[in-house]
Amino acid sequence: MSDILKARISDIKTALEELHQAFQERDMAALQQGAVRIDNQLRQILQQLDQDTHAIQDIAERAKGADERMPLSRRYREVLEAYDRYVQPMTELIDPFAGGSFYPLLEDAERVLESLSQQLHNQGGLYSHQVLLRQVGFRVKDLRETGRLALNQCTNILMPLREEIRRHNHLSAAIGQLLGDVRKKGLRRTFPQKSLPVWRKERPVSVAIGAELLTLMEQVRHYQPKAVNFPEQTVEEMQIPLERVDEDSIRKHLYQNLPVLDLMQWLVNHYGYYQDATLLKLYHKFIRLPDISTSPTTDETQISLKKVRIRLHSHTLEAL
Amino acid sequence: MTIDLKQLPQLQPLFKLLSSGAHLNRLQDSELWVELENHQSQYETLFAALGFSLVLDGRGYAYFKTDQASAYTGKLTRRLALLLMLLFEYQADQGLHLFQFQQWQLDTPLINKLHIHYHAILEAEEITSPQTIKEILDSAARIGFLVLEDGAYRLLPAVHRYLDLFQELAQAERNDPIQTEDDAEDTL
Repeated sequence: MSDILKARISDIKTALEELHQAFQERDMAALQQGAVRIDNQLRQILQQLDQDTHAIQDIAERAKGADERMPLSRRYREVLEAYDRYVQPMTELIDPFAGGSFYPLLEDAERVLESLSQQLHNQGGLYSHQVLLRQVGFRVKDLRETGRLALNQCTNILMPLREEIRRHNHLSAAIGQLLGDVRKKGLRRTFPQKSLPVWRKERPVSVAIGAELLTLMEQVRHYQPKAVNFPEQTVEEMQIPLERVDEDSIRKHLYQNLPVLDLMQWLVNHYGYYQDATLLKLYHKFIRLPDISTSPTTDETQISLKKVRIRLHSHTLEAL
Repeated sequence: MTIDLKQLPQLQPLFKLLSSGAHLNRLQDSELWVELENHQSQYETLFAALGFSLVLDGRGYAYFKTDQASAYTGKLTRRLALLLMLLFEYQADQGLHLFQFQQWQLDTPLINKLHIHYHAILEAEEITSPQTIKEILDSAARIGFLVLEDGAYRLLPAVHRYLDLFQELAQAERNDPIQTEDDAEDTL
């Protein structure tokens, strides 16, 4: 499309030169013809710009409205193509800062038309010719403005979509790169801890009184001490007075006297001065001594101790 | 600055949400969001006085910024970063537009596909089953990175925090590959 524009521009250029020549040769018919030719070209350009703007709007709308599940590259292919093939060359052509030839030409044409119209006026040319030249001059001005607007509009429509794809591509490239790092050196080394987003849960510390504690407090409030009578000192004498018994020496004595035919009798003979309970305790201990053989006698004997009289089959003790 | 607490009727729910470590999302909690946006400077001042630094991102999320993380959070955020990267790579391979991530339905079939597709790299991080992936996503949902709706997860704008980081890190590495390698060594 920019090629067509270029062709038109060069046509305008030649027409301007012819116009100039016609003026110098005072060929008013050629002047009129040239002006009409320029006017025609300008109108065509304006029309084309208008069409192009609409076409680009359609492309953008199609891309936006396309099915979201359609692969991104397909969905936006038209957008990218329109940008690369149209907006970019047009910008290069039109943008005066990018060295475009469009504006210098238009300014040139404006200047030429202006001066011709002025000269025609001074020389007293036909009014209709003056008007024609001035009209063409206005159209040039119009085109300068419209061209800028159209280009702006196209850029504004396509740029966000193009940017969106660029952002998408950037992100996807960044993720690809990081995942490569993760595979090579692990997750931990790819993401320094500090850089990752973190969050912290603030836990308010509160103390609440549980039901158990309330019960306990209730109990404390109604606490009544239990009355316990302090025990009086008892004057009764102990039933069994304590006495010192040197068991070890008695046992040794027993070992020396082995064999003992009647253990109970032996105890009574030698240690009868102890209490009855003590004697009985000693008796039971000694018949269980591990290193002595004991056996009860078949005859039942009666022995009177201090307070009781017992009947027993007393044991005979022998050394093993 | 005088702050009239009567003009901040949503202070309590806002603080409760933000101080739990969660992200406020514009579309999920629109009422709170509007409130926060309308009185942004008051809230910022008030929270700053309490020791919280409020970040409100124009892309639709807000949170309390912190540098301190528990061991649990550190592990979770790293695993979440990995899952997000895998998800985004997978979706990009399907031809989906990455910045329309809020429209994705992260359902069980997709999670299973991710698990199969990236089995090795997930295994290395001890993410051994789709169930583990779901557990990570559940945890992330509790702090407002995702939302669980009808059995499928949906990413929320707060995910931009990770996306920004990915681009930042990749950019840093492109500019100075040796430096970042060193940094990585340092953190070990």
